[in-house]
Amino acid sequence: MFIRLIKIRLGMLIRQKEVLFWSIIFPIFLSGFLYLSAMGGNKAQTAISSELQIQENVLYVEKVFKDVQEIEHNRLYFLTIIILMCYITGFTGIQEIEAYSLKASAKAVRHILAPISMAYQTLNSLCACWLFSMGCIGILLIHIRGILSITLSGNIMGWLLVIGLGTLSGILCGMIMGNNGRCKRATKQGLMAVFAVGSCILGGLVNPSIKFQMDYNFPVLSKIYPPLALIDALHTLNTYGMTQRFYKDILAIILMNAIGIGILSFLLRRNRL
Amino acid sequence: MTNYKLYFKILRKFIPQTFIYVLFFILLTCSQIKSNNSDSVLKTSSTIYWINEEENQVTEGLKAYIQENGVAEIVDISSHVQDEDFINDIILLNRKCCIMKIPKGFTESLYSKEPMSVEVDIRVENETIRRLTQLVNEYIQKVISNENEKELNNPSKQIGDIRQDAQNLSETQAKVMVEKSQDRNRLRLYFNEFIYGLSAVILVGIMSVNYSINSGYLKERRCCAPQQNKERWFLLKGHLLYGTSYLIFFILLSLFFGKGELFTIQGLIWSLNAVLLMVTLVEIGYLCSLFVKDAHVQMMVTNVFTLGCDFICGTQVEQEALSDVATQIAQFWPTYWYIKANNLVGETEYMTKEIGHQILSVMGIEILFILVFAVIGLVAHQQIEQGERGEFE
Repeated sequence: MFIRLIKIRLGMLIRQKEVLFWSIIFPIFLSGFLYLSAMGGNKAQTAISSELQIQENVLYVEKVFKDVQEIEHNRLYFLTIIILMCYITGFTGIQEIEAYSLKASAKAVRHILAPISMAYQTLNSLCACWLFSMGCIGILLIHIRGILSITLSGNIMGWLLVIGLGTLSGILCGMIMGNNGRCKRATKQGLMAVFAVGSCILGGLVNPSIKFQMDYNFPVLSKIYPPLALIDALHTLNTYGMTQRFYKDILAIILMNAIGIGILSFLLRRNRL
Repeated sequence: MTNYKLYFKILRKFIPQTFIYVLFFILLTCSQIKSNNSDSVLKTSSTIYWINEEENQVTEGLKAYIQENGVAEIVDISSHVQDEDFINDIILLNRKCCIMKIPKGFTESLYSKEPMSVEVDIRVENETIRRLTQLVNEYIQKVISNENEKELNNPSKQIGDIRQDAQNLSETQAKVMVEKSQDRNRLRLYFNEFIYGLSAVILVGIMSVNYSINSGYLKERRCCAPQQNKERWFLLKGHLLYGTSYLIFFILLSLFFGKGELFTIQGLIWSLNAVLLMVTLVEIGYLCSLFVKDAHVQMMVTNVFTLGCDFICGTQVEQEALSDVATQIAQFWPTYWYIKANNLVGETEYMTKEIGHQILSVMGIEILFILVFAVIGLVAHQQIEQGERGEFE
């Protein structure tokens, strides 16, 4: 029964052109544009460590080594896009939760009259959206690794953990936003997009140095704010491996997701018919 | 007049949607300005992260000397030395910065004239490393010469003198020039970001109006109305009016970013360039609206177009840093030339005949694009109209 319901909801999601565009085509375009603009081709530069040698009051500049590739710097763009997609697929959460609201009357009546509890239905929707989002991000990863040839390193389990928690966080955000009955769906989607893109800009979507500024100036916020913590987790996983910093980020995301589930159940209880 | 009333009535319905794009535009602009606050003329780095392993008056004096000469902002990260990830992130995530490490025994080696190393980690070699070398050298020469002159009885006085020298060296006029240059750079980045803001707002507005007016029921009513069919011109004039109003709004908004720079010759050229961009975007919007008949498709086209222009044409990444493929693609698009003209104006301190000629030729290419899009738009409109008339007959 549970799996059957998930299948039906997945089928409904896949049939929607708009959802498919935002979840699959848009990230492919965005990563393509970023690839074209950021991967400066033959103009790639390397990090330089120089030593100002002072000998008998005269200063010499000596280049010592070159090791950090430009690709490391630009990889953050793609990591940010992956997290952005976790939140953009949160649109599905808005749609699913709106099905229970009175505004979508015919659908809502069918849901309310169904001989299963609201919590069960919500769990069903959450699972369907999560599977759908994971699939979409899988396609994006194939595009990034296969077509754009960007090397993404790190433990596969770590990747699954971050993406799984990220999509859950995005869908929860969408569902919480969808519970606000006052706004139209387009406005909710717009707000969700502003939230997602704004957060990812702070995480380094347009310039990685913004992420560093956030980490340096607002260390607590960048650890507890889910999009920033997710980006940091992916960045750590890619650059330094599964270190203590990575586990701290994961712990923070799990905690924030738990809070999100609490808020969602409270809102659902309050808005139940 | 009735037509225009209808036009703006439809537009009013789409204000929340355009407002979201304006919000995005401001967000993007602020992030661009924040992350590219370097001096456009000197192309110096924006921040020097300072690790001081030996705190005394000489090293503090060196720090003050570099800071007061206006090379870059100095951020002391001596307390984060143990955090390896943090130090790695500085180089990995910041393009325009460097880490300067003053080793233990710096002062002793300086006075005993022994060789020593001041480690500087820099991501992309730029003007800063040259300027930094020059400043460290100047400072060391001053300290050594002061010692030779036996003026080291009061070290604090000596450091104070050197700092005073630094202030004298960096003349007030030079500082004003640097500040002005930073303002100009901010305004250049703001005008470059117009590509996102203006194109999103114009495309959303024009496509919304066109598909509303050309929707079946409304079109039938309009066709049987007792008025001449001047739709093509009324729509184009309406679009231009709409584009101009947003352009004025955005130009007024630029006063927050560039202070008085808008009222200089550069500001005037940027504004003129923005007018050309607006006309081009209106024509592109008109052309797209002939084929887009759905609100969802309109959103898709708008987002792909605006982000595409933003990334490929050199707004998010400087045109010099674009890959060859991206540059080749972008050259066939008017926004590339818009940014090129903006950058030419931004990098110019004084307008010379040669630079003026360069800017004019780039703007000439933009005008050519306007003509091309106008012709394509009108021909496409005529073809679609003829097709519809044929179907009707």
